[in-house]
Amino acid sequence: MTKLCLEGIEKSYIKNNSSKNKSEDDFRIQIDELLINEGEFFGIVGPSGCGKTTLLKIVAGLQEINKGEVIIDGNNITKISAENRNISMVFQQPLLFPHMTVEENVTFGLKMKKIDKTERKKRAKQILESVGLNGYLYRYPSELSGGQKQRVAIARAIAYKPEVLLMDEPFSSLDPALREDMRNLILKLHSKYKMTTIFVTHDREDAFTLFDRMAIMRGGEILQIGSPKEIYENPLTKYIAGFMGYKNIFQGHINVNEFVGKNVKFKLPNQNYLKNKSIYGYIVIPSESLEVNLVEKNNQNIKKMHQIESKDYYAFLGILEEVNYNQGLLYLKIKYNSEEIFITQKNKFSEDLKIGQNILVEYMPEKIHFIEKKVRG
Amino acid sequence: MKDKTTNGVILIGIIFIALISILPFVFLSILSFSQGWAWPKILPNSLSLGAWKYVFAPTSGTINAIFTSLKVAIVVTIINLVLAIPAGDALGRYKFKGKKIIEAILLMPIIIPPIIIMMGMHKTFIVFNLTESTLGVILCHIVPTLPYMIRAVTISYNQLGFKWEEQGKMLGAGKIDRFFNIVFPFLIPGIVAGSSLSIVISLSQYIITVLMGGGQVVTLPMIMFPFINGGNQGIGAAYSILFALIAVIALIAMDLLLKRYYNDRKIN
Repeated sequence: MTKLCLEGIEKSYIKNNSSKNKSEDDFRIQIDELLINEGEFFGIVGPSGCGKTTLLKIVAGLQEINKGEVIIDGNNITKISAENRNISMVFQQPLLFPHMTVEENVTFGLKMKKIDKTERKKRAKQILESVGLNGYLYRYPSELSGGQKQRVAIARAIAYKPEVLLMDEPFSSLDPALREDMRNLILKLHSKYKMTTIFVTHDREDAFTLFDRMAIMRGGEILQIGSPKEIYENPLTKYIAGFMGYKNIFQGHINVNEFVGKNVKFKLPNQNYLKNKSIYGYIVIPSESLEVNLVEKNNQNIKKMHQIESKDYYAFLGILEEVNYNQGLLYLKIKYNSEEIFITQKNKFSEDLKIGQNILVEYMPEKIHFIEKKVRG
Repeated sequence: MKDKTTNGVILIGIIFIALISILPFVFLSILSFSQGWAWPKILPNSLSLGAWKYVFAPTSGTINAIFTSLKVAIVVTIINLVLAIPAGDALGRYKFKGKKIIEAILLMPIIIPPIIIMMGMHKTFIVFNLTESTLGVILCHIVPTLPYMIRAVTISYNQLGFKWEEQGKMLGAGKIDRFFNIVFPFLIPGIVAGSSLSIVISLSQYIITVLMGGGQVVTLPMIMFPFINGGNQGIGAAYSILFALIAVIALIAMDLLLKRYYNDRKIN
């Protein structure tokens, strides 16, 4: 069931008043349609300045729009002010009111809803328990650590029982170890309270661990919507592929049985649908689908090297440029005809790899993803 | 070693400043208890309570003057607050055309001597029948005090920004709830600073009160001035001490009052 619907949203504003070349700083957000389901954990992902926070503020009612409609449960709330929308938001900073105790902070929203005091106290206790802050009721925000403050902020937003919970990079001010904990906490809370949540982030890890579905944004527009897995396995554009963490992206032509780029060439299984035409675009090779074999002068390898020319052996020769060993995985950088190729694989070698060494890289052609470059017209 | 010398220098500085600020009071205290203290004697001939007796005698009207002074100062400060909070909000957080000019106009009374403004106001107030009334005096005291209040509140608003109120909105707080629960506590330091200046400046107005009050509104400086200005200097000294005490008490009382609600609350 659709909970939240954004339709034909348009918002343009001038980022910098004093700047003379206004056209450059003009920023525009344009969303044709965005549907978010009841109880869904929805992510909005993009680089900074792509308009994701603005989009969140549009949903919250903190940002006015030029055109379009925001609809919750079939009710058009575009004209309703932020405080009457029953939407709560967790900001980048905890923004706990410093003159109120943790309890007063958590129950502030309930007080505004005129819920009576005993009920408020009860709920504050429950919620603080679920964020792991038992017994912090009467502390002041200045007595809490950064992570604890953000937990209280999250508790405060949930205690309000909003229709939609918005989160604007709530972990960005926390250190990486804490982020991991917070992600788990948020997942736990989401499954407990089943709240429709929109979470804005630029962090890929957030995306993969948290979201049911997500939208990739850039320059005020949504580029692709889908589950993190769908988007990872099937990025629509080169930009999305890069954003999802792919490093091996090459531009070139795809022919019936090979890909020809500027400096590289990969054999491919027969692409019969092409019917002898070639198409232009990008190929994306997941770094985990490549595997390095050492080229030593033993018989087996020499055999393999001869196979390179054969039709259904998919491999190429390269020179090892960099090796990083990290938690049982090898991160390798290979030079292949002046292009860099990144590989992630399990460490199966008994000896250390030497930089500058010749290396045979095998790849799985079925894992290669192809993005056709469409001519804009 | 270096720390020790710096500390020594700082200590001497503090003692020096303390002496400079305390000495006049020592002198005033001796003067107020003396009877005949002519140059070049270091100490007065004899001590007497005469000056203080006069000050607190029912006929001198001191107690009434104190109440009038405080009444005027407090009402002026409240009016200043009501005016300065929206003004400070506008100047501290919003951008609009002509902001600089409005800022300059609002701060003008600090630069232009109030007496000049007062001449014009006096003429106008005659028409409205406000001269020789407490209300007229109160309205005139706003002129030299409001700029300080606006300045202080503007800075508070500027530091506050919009984020706290946005958070308030996201918890369903309307405009009034937001102001009293979220904005006001953040403004308190600025309000305390502005109100202190407002009270002290209002208490020490003489010329404005004389002009507008026409002798009918008797504040403490009104009865103090003639004694300092060539009358009995002992009584003048006693009034000066009393005046200073009242100013200090008023400031402390106001500070406590404003902070009472948020007294044990920590505002970073």
